[in-house]
Amino acid sequence: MSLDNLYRRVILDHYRSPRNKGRVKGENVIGEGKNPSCGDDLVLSIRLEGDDLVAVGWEGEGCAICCASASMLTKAIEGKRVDEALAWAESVKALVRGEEPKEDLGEVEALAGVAKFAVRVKCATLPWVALGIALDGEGEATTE
Amino acid sequence: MALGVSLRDRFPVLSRTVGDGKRLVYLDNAATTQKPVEVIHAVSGFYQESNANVHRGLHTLSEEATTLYEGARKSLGFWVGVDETEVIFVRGATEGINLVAQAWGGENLGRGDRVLVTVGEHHSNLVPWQMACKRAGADLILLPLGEDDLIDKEALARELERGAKVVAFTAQGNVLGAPEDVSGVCQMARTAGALSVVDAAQAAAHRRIDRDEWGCDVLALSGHKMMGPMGIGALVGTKTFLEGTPPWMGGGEMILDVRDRDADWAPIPAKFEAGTMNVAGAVGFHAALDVMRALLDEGMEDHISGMTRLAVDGLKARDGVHLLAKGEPHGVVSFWVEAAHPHDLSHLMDQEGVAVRAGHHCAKPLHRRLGIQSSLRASFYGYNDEDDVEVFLGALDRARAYLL
Ligand SMILES: Cc1ncc(COP(=O)(O)O)c(C=O)c1O
Repeated sequence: MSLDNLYRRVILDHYRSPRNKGRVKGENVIGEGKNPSCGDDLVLSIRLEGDDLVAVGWEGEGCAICCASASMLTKAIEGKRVDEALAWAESVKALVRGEEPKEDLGEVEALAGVAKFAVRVKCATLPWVALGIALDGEGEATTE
Repeated sequence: MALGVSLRDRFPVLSRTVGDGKRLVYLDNAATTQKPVEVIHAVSGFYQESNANVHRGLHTLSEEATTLYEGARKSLGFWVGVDETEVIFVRGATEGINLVAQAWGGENLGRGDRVLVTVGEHHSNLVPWQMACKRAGADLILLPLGEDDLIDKEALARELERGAKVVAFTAQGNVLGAPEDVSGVCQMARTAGALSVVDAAQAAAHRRIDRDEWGCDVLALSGHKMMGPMGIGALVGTKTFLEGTPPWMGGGEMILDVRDRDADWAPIPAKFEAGTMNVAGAVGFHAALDVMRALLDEGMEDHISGMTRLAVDGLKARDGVHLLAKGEPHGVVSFWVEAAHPHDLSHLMDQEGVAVRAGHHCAKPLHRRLGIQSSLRASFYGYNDEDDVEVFLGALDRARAYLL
């Protein structure tokens, strides 16, 4: 299927076996994201100690792209500082818009295939927008 | 005009391919139907030969355009069994219902009045009533559907007994697809002194409707779901309703006389047609009705029932696939699949040329009651055939396997 570029193996792997699913112990920051028209609906659960994201989990429902993106997010930002995590979020958003990311995003770069499918960009970015809101904003994220 | 594959060459878009050269299997007909050459030619013919504003000039083109526009109104009036003055052209079902909710509701709904709709409504027959009720301080009540997906008549009787100003309901839902007992519901509403408003957007796409057989005060439909152009539809109301309802929008054409500070309204239907109308759309809609007549004569309704049943049986035979309809759907099959999101499935199926709808289909309250966020929907029309149903089921199987 020519969608192999969208549904890369690593994406399907995160979708089938999501990492860090569930709320973390000692959660003290949450980020909520919703795309009402497609039903993507997730919560990032974060334990922040000082400036460090020491534990990151997620729960919710959504399409494969959104769930895989959330799962990869938790792996990518755990252990990072707030400013580093926010910089990552910006890079990922640029990546799925089809731009060259400023840093090496590791397996998250598998999301680059989304750029060719305009309707799916919002699925991929939702967890990252929710992260931004959790760490430096208020309210609920949506990428619709 | 034969149905199925031999009809397809009259619908130019159906001969295109999608993805890497896959035949288009268009199964999103409940959202909008494709257009036959008759309609496309009628619209472009209007602009090439007769374009002028209607009712506004004495020159040849204006007269021709007026004749064409009013000819469309006559044809639609004849189609639904009403006098042509009872046909108001609007953008579509949505605009028609908004007209009723705002113009009639604005004048007739007050604090504590009760408006009945059903839990199965398309947002276009729900949100306008929410807005009208909020403005008036009226209560909106969502009637439950029974095991057959039709209005629960006992609940309706109970609610009517407590008093209701309006019963607004769909003649055939775009998710569950069960043809409603429209005349039964309208009769109950009439006896209770409530206005009956029928959303005929889907029903009108599948069979000829007869306003008097239904016995409704007003109905709304969309041309684009009946092979006509987008942006044209009709509100069909009884003379009593239309004459007793104040105009909705003010502007050109809807007046008899205008003074500095007030105006007199034109008689119906002009009273409700302010401004320049979608004349080309009406002309195309007229052409669509002619095609519709021919296809219904060929047995389109049974043809669509057959495909629907085949799809229902095929889906029921698959593990982990759940139908939303409990009753017998016509023309649409909505379903969800365990452990696979509708958007992923629809995206994957699209790669095989299969166009199905994923989402809440503008019926969020219904999805919420069914405990799901979104679903997939396949909907059939005269140019589809059983082979399309097989391609659809096969594509669904492969998409599921891919995600597993
Ligand atoms: C049952 C039903 N009612 C109303 C509508 C609204 O029609 P339109 O968008 O053409 O105004 C639709 C179409 O989406 C529908 O399926």
